[in-house]
Amino acid sequence: MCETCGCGQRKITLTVGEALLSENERWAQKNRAWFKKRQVKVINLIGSPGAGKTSLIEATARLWNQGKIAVIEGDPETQRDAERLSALGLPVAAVTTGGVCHLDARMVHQAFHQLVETDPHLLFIENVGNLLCPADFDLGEDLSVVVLSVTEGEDKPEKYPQAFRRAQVLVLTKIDLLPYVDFSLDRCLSLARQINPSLKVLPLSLKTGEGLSDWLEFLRS
Amino acid sequence: MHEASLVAALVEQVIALKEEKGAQRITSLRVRIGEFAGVEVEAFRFAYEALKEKVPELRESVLEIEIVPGRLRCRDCETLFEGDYFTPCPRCQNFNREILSGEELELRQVEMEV
Ligand SMILES: Nc1nc2c(ncn2[C@@H]2O[C@H](COP(=O)(O)OP(=O)(O)OP(=O)(O)O)[C@@H](O)[C@H]2O)c(=O)[nH]1
Ligand SMILES: [Mg+2]
Ligand SMILES: [Zn+2]
Repeated sequence: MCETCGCGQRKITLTVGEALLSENERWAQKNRAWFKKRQVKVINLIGSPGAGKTSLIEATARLWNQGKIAVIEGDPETQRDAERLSALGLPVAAVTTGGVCHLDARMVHQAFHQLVETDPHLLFIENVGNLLCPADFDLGEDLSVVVLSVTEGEDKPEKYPQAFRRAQVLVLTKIDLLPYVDFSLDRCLSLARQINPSLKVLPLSLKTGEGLSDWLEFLRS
Repeated sequence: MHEASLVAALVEQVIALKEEKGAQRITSLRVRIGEFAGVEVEAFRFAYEALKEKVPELRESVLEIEIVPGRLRCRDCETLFEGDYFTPCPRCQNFNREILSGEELELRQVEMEV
């Protein structure tokens, strides 16, 4: 167009070949190096609203005796979960994402600045309740955990494969409710393992305490 | 809306390139999306069209999307095949596969006016 109209504008074409989330990836690498230097093990909890993420952190904190726990709490609007965890005496950095549906590595970086002085050994990141978007964002964590409750249905791995692909662990919560819902554990695990054959699965109930010791055992190792 | 977060990241990336090159505006961009990267192409396009209205340097731009097919290789028998997360090896029927392509989310090319 401009060659013909003579407006003096020139077109250039750049070949880029960069991942869409490369900026996030840069922050994630920065976080990873920082976490390593501070010798903190970082766990990213990803799951739908109400899956039991906050409850899992609460239960873990009550029984944990292997050093300090801190939490980065992602919540789109409120500080309620952060307050629940502070009530247990945990250092919590609340990230109110202002409606954004996931945490990104930069938010986590800023939040960790508030916690680094407490010198935690274990850092939980409770991602925003959502099984979709958080799976796109590496936060620099050591361990990515999907928290899925049996009331959500056995087909979730099929609908949200990215989250299950990224995770090393699936924590299947609310198994006390299994008698009341149509949820085939076998079917769910078989779908999850198709996506991720090495996925570790830990079924538990925070109501009865069943399976909780396996989770704690796993965290210790 | 996961496409919206991806598009937001894309726009940020493109604007940074524009500034770096001192360009006036973007005329086209090409994105590669893997077949099973979990992206709904129509939703992605829609999110882009919505966002570009708000960014003057992008208003005239055209988004091209290239779909990358899913290719896998069995770790046990080395068979190459096409499919997604739920496609087993056609020979051994198991899921111990390596994903060679299909998960791409990549900015490939940007064309701009300087
Ligand atoms: N029956 C039963 N209920 C549970 C269990 N774990 C959690 N719940 C309940 O599930 C509800 C949601 O739990 P939360 O821990 O707040 O869930 P969350 O994933 O943090 O939710 P968001 O932060 O809103 O995304 C609460 O009412 C819990 O008491 C369980 O093992 N069994
Ligand atoms: Mg919560
Ligand atoms: Zn095979």
